Amino acid sequence: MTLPWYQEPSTDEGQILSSRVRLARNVKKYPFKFKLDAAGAAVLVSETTAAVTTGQNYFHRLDIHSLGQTEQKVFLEKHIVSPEFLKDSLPKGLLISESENISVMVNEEDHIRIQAVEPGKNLAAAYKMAELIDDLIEESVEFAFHMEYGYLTACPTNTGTGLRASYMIHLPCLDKSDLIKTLLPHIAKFGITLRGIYGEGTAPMGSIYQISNQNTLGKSEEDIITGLQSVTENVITQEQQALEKLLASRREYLEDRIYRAYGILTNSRMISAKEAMDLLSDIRLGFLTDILQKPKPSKQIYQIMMEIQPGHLQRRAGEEMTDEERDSARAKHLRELF
Amino acid sequence: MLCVKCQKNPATVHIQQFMLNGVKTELHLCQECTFKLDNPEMLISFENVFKGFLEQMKIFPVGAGGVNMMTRPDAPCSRCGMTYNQFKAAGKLGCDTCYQSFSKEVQALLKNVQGSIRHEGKYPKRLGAGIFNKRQADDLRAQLKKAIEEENFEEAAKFRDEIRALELAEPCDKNPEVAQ
Ligand SMILES: [Zn+2]
Ligand SMILES: [Zn+2]
Repeated sequence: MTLPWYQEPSTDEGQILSSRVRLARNVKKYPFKFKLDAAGAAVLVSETTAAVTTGQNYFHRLDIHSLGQTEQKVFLEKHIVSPEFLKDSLPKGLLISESENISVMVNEEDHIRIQAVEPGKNLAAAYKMAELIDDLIEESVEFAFHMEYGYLTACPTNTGTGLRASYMIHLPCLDKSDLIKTLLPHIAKFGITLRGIYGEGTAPMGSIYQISNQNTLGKSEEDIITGLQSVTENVITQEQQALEKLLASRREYLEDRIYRAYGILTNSRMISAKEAMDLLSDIRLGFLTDILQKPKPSKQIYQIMMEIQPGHLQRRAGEEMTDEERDSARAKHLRELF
Repeated sequence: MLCVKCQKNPATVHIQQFMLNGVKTELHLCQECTFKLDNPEMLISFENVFKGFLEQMKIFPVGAGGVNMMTRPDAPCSRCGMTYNQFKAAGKLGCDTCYQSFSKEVQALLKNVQGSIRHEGKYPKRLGAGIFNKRQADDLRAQLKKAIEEENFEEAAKFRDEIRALELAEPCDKNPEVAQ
């Protein structure tokens, strides 16, 4: 059986944690979401569900509105759903594969958003998977498509291929040295964006970034993916150079930081998500560089990062928690893992 | 020039974007907004660039004809009733027909935010190979013309044969339903 991507050891092996592909599609016979009423939205959900689940039971169907707040948060933290998806009360459909690596959101910003994730560096495989689902839905549904513009989307920023490809990358050295800021304009030149993925509007936590294509029109899916690949490789080279510099000139400082991170994580009694994420980032770097000579936890570092987010902690506890209760539950969970 | 993000400080950082197909857009930001790390999404958020562009269009209508090239702001889309003003406020279109109802504005928008107005990716299978062949034939016809102009008859003959082969392969590419 396929594991969820974040349980795969390859997510811990380099700077690239995962590869993700999203396809945006709209159904021709319905207006876009902005002009869609609840009745239309409900039919769209059942039609898309039927299209995806023909003759097999591979996908679970979830009603996001009937889930509790904690469950919704867990899906957000896993990046299976987006904040946009939870915003309004229109009927929604959520289809998730057994491993949770493939999902379909119905009535997000567009009628249909197909998502596929692979552990490590494997965009091609993620795209292949998303494209299969795309073809499957297309068997029974006619998409809004334009001769010149391609797949039509609610926002023109997604028109064309509707493809958003992204890598989740760990950039501890660029992040800590602030080199990342000088990198941003260069990346933007190639139509690529880089942003923190955790923290919702605050500083990126744990030096985990998402790097993705901005433009969806004018290039083939393959070219979008190879373009993103080459820019990402460049960014990673920069990260590796920053690391080498640090190892050459300030090795003791780095060792100190990594072992301090380990010391705090294994001893703290209360810890915020931000602090824990940053320490886990140092620990991940410690294992990558072999500086940290300690037994590896039974879970991948990114999986641990996810498990210490508020929704995951609350689900584990089975009850609502105050901030303080969460901080101590987080510290306890981390002590048990390390 | 003011920073497109905060509309307060002078823009000192000019980020060129979307260099593809020769179309450039510049993102003008102040130092503060460029380096503000407490909101990294904002830094390079495509949606913000896009909204900024919509704002600009209010002031500088696109196209050589200026104002008269614009769709009337209160004219509704024939399918969904969305007006151009509504689209500008929401940043989202109401239906697939909106792409025709506001065709000039949408085209200008796509040129600016996407750097292209021509889809080069996947086609829905149900449209058949015809649509693909037609586009390929269009390209070949352009190349054929160029080859003739350059009196490169050998090349021209090659293009002509390729066009013929495409047209034979797909006799029904004039299906009006396909052409939106
Ligand atoms: Zn500013
Ligand atoms: Zn419309």
